Amino acid sequence: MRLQRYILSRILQLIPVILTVIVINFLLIHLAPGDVAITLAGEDADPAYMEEIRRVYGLDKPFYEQLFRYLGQIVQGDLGISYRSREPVLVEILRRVPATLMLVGTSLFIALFIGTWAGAMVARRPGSLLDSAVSTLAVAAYSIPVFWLGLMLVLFFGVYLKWLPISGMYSLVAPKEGLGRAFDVLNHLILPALALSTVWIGQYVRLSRTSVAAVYNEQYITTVRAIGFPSRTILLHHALRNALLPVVTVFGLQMGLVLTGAVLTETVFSWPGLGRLIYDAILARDMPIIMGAYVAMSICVALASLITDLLYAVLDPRVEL
Amino acid sequence: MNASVLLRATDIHKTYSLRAGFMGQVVGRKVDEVRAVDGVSLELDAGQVLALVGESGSGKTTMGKMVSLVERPTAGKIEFDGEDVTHLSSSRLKALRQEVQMIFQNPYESLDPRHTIGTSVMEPLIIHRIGTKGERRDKVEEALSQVELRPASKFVDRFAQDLSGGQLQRVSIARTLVLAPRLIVADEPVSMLDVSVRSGVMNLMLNLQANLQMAYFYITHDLAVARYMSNRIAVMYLGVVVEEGPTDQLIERAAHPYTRLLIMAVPEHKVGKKRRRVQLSGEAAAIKEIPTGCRFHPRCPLAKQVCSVEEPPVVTVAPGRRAACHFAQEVFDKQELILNV
Amino acid sequence: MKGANYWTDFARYPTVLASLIIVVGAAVLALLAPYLGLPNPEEMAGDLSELYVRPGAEHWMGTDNFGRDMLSRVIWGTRLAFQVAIVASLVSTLLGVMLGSIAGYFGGWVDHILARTFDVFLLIPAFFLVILIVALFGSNIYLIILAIAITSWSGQARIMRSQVLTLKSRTYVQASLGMGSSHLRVLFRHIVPNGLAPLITNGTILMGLAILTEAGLSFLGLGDQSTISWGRMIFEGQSQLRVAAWLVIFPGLAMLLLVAALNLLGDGLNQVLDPNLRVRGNPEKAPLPEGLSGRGVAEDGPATGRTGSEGEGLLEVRDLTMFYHLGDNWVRAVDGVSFSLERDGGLGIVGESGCGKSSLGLALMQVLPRNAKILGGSVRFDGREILNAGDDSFRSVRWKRMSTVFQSAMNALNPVLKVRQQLAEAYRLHRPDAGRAEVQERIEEIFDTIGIPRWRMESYPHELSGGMRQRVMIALSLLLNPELIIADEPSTALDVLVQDQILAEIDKLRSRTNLSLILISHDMGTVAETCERIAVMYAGQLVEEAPTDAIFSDPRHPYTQALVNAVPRLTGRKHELTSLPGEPFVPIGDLRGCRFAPRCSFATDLCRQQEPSRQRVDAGHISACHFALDERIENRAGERLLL
Repeated sequence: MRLQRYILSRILQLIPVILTVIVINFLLIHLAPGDVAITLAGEDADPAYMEEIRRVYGLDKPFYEQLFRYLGQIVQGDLGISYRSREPVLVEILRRVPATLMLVGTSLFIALFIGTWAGAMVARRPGSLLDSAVSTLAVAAYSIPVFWLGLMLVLFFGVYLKWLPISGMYSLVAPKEGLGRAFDVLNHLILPALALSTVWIGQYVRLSRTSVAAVYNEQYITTVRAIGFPSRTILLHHALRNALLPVVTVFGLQMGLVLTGAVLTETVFSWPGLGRLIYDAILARDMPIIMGAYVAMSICVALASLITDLLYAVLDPRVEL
Repeated sequence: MNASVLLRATDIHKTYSLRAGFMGQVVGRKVDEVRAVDGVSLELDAGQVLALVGESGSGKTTMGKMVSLVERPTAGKIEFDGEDVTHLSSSRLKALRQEVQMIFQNPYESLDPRHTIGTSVMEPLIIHRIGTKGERRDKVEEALSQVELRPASKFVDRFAQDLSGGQLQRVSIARTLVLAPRLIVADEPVSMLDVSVRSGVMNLMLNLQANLQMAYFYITHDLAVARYMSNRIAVMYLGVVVEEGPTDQLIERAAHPYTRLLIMAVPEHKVGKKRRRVQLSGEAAAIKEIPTGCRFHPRCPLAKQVCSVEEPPVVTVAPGRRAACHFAQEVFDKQELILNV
Repeated sequence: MKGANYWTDFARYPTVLASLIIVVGAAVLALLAPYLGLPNPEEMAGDLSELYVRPGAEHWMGTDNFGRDMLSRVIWGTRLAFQVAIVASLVSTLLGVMLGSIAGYFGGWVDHILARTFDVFLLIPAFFLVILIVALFGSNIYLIILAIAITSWSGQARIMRSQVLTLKSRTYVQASLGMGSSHLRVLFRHIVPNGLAPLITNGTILMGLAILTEAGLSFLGLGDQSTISWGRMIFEGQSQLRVAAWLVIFPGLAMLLLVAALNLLGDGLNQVLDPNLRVRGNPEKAPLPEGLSGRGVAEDGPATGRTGSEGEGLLEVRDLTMFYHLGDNWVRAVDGVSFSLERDGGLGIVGESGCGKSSLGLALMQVLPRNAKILGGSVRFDGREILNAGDDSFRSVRWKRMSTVFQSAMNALNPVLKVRQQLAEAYRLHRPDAGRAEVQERIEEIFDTIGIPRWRMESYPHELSGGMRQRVMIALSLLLNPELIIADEPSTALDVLVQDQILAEIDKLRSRTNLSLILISHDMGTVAETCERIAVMYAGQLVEEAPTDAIFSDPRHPYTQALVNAVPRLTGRKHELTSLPGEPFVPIGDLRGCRFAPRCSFATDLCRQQEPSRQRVDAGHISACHFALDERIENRAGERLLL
């Protein structure tokens, strides 16, 4: 009951975020130079569709009514129609989500696992040579422009060593189903996931190091040391769970940056996800797609923060439900 | 000394509301109200020291904030030197602040770490636009030597981080002195200091009080400190004053069971004697859930039926001695009463 | 605060220094770009042989598809990077400081609305909003910078808000308001200057992020065509990756270097500005102070009866020495401490903050802070050396026969584990064969003994009151029926009545189970009631040890006398409290003479020259004062009565 109420209140808190995103979207369209109808329909849309747009969005109506109509459209899932493909934006976006999810999921999993582990290891001896080296490397890793790292990987593994495919998600000649296809996709996934996870390993090493080191200064760690627990148990059982709390928080807050990295990585590797969609839309000035992507990404981030909050509540009994 | 009343607080209330947050309210979380101070009346004569004694959560600090006019009471009246100051305009309030000054508990946080000692002590003069630059500097040096930080010139250019706790607390006292206040509200000014340093600060405060004819509103949790510092003691429990009276009388012969227990619970070594432990059942009620009737009844060894129903009246057990207990007179009359727990 | 300190602090972190050099170097390069005599970055080669020149002596970074010199372009790119970084970070910081301080300072509904706004903006994915803005309004570099700034201010605002919320309750702010300061004065004189540090740190990191964002935009083809930007170079170079990889490599490297330097600088600033993060000394590497190398660990021989209580007790401590390495100094936290504790005995260790009493407790339990080192001495428990005879000797004693109750039970229990689980784990660790039922039974038994309701087992520490938490800590320490408990301030920070309950529990346990106790406290009264003997500690050393009554009635060390006479009493006649001049002594480095001499009214030249030895005053009464037996120092407490 309390948990349900907590979840409900967290979901309610997301409403203002989504509303703000949509209102910003609306304001930007109206502030931008040029006719709103053209922005929404595209330069070379046929006049009938243009009329339709004017009618649906009430472009001759007062400002606030336009806002409500716009909100209404988006709440119904109508994000407009792509200039290029003449397909609904929502359909285009949903089609691309699985690929992006696969890339982001794989990379984050690797980054969280390796990053947290490495950070926790060096945190036990702060100030040591290993610690300084790992920490500096971590900063370097998350300072790398991810698209540049992608290009470097392409250059080294694709062009120079010719080990791995550098573009797309499938080979032309690979099997179309079964295990063979899975391996093919995995093969294509390696380089983009490597690029994206490298950057985030850096971030998580840094986070988990700071946070584990802070927990090690807590009194209760002295207690368990005095009781005589082996240092491995102290780290894994007593310190890590507390240390994970700040990591979890940041994980939610940085989802926007993760998606940014994913979009840029997809662009480099022609990975057929949302990033590639956005890139193509930019080249074609396909505004409905760009606006739709912005709304979609905002919803993703909001959902990630919801999941983070729930995870936090599970990990930390002090959260007031 | 023919004392006139300097500070009079009448039936003071202070209520804080703990917000549940907008979204919290939407999903039906309650808004908590906390009655931090719940009908307190106190008097302090000019040039005297009143100690307000209580445990954590008793409302003593909140009371201090109101008599020093930092916070306004939710209800009740505060008079300073005969003038009602409860709802003053901000300009009159600023003028009044010259007469009422504060000393706080944590010496390490009392001074802005980015300012020199001299700047900190001078701040009140700058705020109230008193004196020229030269006069201000003289006043600062004078105040520093009054608190025995000598030579003053050695201290003015140093920073808070260069000073020890005891020295910092002396600087805080000096800062109040430059305005020559008539009342100083001191909230646990020595509780964070080490024993060997603490007594020096207490002696200094007593000397200044005697020499400069100031009054102290002295807030503490420590009855022994209260005894050393004050002429009168008021004991607070969960937002109300349960007992008040002249210091020595009150400690010798308390009329409220709570006061008696507090006195009994102080660990103090007497050569060759062993003290009885109090071993009170239960813990202090949270200020959020104040018990009905007498606030102390759930822990009181003397509690009867009436205590849980009826709020006790304030009884004058002897001249200048009042206590809020249904059985105050009985407790007062039995000086040797040891409360059996 | 003094700038000089920061610079020496910086020098401690080589990576920070290096990154500072890189950032400053890049800034200088950016400023001087027009005067370096570089080839015009936009000048195209008239000659086809100048296209795609490989990096070499002529062109250090080669030339591009138009024959433009890459070195020159990369250096000119630094200008844009700095423009983007500085302006975007500055604008967002200014916005953040303004809105954050308004929200934090004024509170109420203003804060409520603003704080929610910050949270909302924090969740909006900035990069995609910037893409939208630039796609709608055109790729103009100023617009790009502005877009970056208005999408990144909310983080700064949140930091500022929480800073203000913390600082607002600081005593100096309250004091200033109490003196009559206006809100504006308080805000600008006290709050903002003291709250800026983390904003500077975060601002530095935002600079790096702004550079990456601009580059990302350029890489997607949304960059300003009229600028020379690293991101655009990579964008334009990627199609020629196979023929001229240097077109991509060098601008990327430049960006990596600058962004990494900015991030390292941000981290470094954080460490320098936040004293909590400073790296403490490393005891393994620092040289020991002179005259200590000879002081070794005692052999496992019979203890020499140098203390008051003769013969072998339960615990025999000889010359225990533990130092902290702090900055460049060794702090002599525990310096040659010797005492013995009889079976069933109670010893109180009293002293002021920093005297080493808690360090003594940690050393006895062998849980040393990272920067501490035991330099010598011997600790014998029940006749066996446990300090230096290898790990095994202590393992059989730890927690099973000797356990501890820590100061501030608030934090002494793990906040995310239920109380029962914490006790059960400790039990199973030392009794691996115990079954579920046995563990449960033992916990119930111990809860009953200490007076904790059984249902409290399922609570988390934060759900318990301070007194209850302290009881749980005591239960944890008694779990395995130890013979000795070391309790460090077990009742401090509790209210008087609760404190009395806790002390009563300890008393009861001692009489019921023949428990020995070492009680560490700053409060003479607390210790006197619970322990038969008291040892007084000053500046890392035991200065006096005696039966409790003797400590109060006939103290033979001037420091003990001062302690006894400095505490106001609730009963008896009121006498003027004595106070000591100066402040507690911190024993650092090489020392001579008596450590108390600077504050002692009896001090002579002898005291300042020669360290006093331990003098036997009476059976079981020892004082480390040259004049312990001199009648002149007999206690004159209570001479000045106050009426």
